[in-house]
Amino acid sequence: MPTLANLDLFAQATLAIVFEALPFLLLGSVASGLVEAFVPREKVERYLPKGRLPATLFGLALGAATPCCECGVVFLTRRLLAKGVPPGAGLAFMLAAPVVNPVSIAATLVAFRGDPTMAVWRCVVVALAAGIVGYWAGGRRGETLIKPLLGLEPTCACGHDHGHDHPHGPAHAHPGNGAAPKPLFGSLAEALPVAVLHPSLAKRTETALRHAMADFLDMAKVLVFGAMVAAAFKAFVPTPVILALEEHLWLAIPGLMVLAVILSLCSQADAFVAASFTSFPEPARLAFLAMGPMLDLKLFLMWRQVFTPRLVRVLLVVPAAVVFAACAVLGFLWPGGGA
Amino acid sequence: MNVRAGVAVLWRRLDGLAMTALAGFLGWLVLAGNYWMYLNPRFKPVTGAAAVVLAVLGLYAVWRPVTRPSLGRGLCYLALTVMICLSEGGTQALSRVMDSEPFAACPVPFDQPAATSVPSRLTVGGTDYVPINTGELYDIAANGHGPAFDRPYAMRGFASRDPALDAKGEFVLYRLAVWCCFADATAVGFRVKVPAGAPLPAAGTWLVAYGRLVDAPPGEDKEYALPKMAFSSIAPLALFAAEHLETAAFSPEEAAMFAWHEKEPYAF
Repeated sequence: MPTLANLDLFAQATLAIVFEALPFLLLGSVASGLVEAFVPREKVERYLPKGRLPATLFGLALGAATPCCECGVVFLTRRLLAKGVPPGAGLAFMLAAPVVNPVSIAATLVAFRGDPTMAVWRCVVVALAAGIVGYWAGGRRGETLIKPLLGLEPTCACGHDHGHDHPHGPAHAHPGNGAAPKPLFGSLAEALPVAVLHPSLAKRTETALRHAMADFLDMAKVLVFGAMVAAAFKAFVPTPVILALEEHLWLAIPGLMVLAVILSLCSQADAFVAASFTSFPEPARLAFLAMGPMLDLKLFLMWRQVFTPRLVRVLLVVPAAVVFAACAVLGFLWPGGGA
Repeated sequence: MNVRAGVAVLWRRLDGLAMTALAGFLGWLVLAGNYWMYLNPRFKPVTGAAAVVLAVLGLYAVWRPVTRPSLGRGLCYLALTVMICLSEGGTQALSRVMDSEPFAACPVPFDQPAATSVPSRLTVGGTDYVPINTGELYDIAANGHGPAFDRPYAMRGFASRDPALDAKGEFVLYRLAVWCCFADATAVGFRVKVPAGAPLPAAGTWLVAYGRLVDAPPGEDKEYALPKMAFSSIAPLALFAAEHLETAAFSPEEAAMFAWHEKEPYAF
C-alpha cells in the first residue's frame, strides 16, 4: 500500500522535525523569558552600539558566538528588540546566528568531507544577506518592526492568569493603575517591563516562566504546521520533480532555494542533505545551504506572528535576492560552473 | 461540579495538559520508545532535557493557565496526536485491516529484535571480513586507493534494482544515514557487482554483502541516482565487488545508520 506507506512517512517526518526543533524552541523561549524578566531596558540601551554599521556588525558577531538553531531565535529577537537592542543588531543576529556559529560550520565541514569551500561561502553569503537586512533595519526604530499587542490580551506583571475569576484585592493592586505605560509589544502573556515594578526574585522568575510559556505556545503551533508541510513534500512529491532541476544552473539555483524553503531543515543538519545532491552544481548546493537557515516555511509563519508585514517582506526578498545573485555570480566563477 | 463545568476547567487547562502529555511522550521515547524512528539516538540527552523542561512548564500551566486556549493551538494538538497515532503503528494497523498485509517499509514499532553485538571480523569461506556500514565505506572509497581501500569488508543494507544495473549484473546496496532526524535522512550506498553466476537479490531485500572495493569501470564513474529516493549518495568512483551475499534477519532499528567511525571498530 504505497499510499499508506507515504502517510506513515509523512507522520514520521512531521514528528521528526517537531521533535528535533522542540528543544531549541524551548531554549529560545526560556532565553526570551529570562531576557524579559531580568534584563533592564536601560542597560541594553546604554551598553549596545547604536550606529547602523556597528550595531549590524555586533549582531553578526553575536550570531557567530551563539550556537543556536533558527527556530529558537525568532521570538528571542522580538524580545531583544522590545528591550531596546538596536534593530540592526537584532535582525543581523537572527539571520546569521543559525549559520555562522561554530557548530553549524563544523557540521558543514564534516558533511563536505573537510573541504572548507562550502562552509566558507555559506558563511559569507549568509553574513552578507544578514548584514544588508541589519543595515536596512538599523535606520528604523524597533517599535516599527514588531507587531503591536492589538489589545487582544489583558496584561500585567502580576503573574496571575488574566481572564480568571479571582478578584484583584488591595494587596494585589496594579501599581499606578491606569497610569502605568502600556506595553508596546508582545504576545499573549506580554507584560509591563519588570524594571518598572521592582519585583522580587521569585516574582521575576515567575514572570520569566510565564513569558517563556507564552512564547513557546505562540510558536509551537507554527512549528507543527510548518513541519507538516515540509513532511508532506518529502512524502508525496515524486523524486523526478526534484531531479529535473539538476540539469541547468539557472534552474538548479532557484530550484534548490525553493526546496530549502519547503523542506525547512535544521541548519545543523541541512549540510548533510546538500552533500547528497551530488549531481547538482556547487553554486546550487550553496544556494540550498544559504537559503534554508534564513528563510523556510516555519520561519515565514513565525515572522508573520511577530514582525510587521513590511519587515516580513524584506526578510522574504532580501535574503533570497542576495543568495540568488551571489550563487549566480559564483556559477560564472566556479570552475566548470560548479558542475 | 457538573460535566459542563468540568469540561470548561479542562479546556482552560488544555495548553498545560498538552505540554505535559507531549513531555510524557518524549520521556517515553527516550527511555523505552522508538526514539530512532525520529531522531539520531545521540540526541537522547537533549530530548530528555527538553521533556523535563516541558513537563515543568506544562504542570505549571495546568496549575495556573498562562493563556486562553485557542482554536489554532487546539488543532495543533489534534494534529500532533494524529501524527503520533499514525506513526506509532496506526498506518500499519490500517494496512493490516485494508489488505491483510502490512507494508514492511516502515519500522515496526513493537516486538523489535534486540540489536546484537558485532564481532570484529565476519568469516565467510575462510576469509575474514571487516564489518562496516555503507557510510563508513563510502568515506573510504571517496579517499581513493590506500590500505583501507583494499581490505575485505562486510556491509549490510537494502537491495535496490533497476534494469540498467541488472544488465550489468549489479544492484545497489544502501542504508539511510540519519544525521539529526528522520527528515534529513539520505540513502548512502554502493553499486554491488554480484559474484559470477549468482542471482541478483530481490529488490527491497535486507542482506549482507561480503567483498572488496574496486574502481568503477571507465565511463561508469558517474553519479547514480537511487530510484524513488530524492536524497541519495551512491559512491561514484568505486563498486563493491561482492564475493558472497546472504540475506539476514532484519531489525527495523538497523535500517538506519546513526554513527560513523573513521577507524575500527566500525559502527556496522
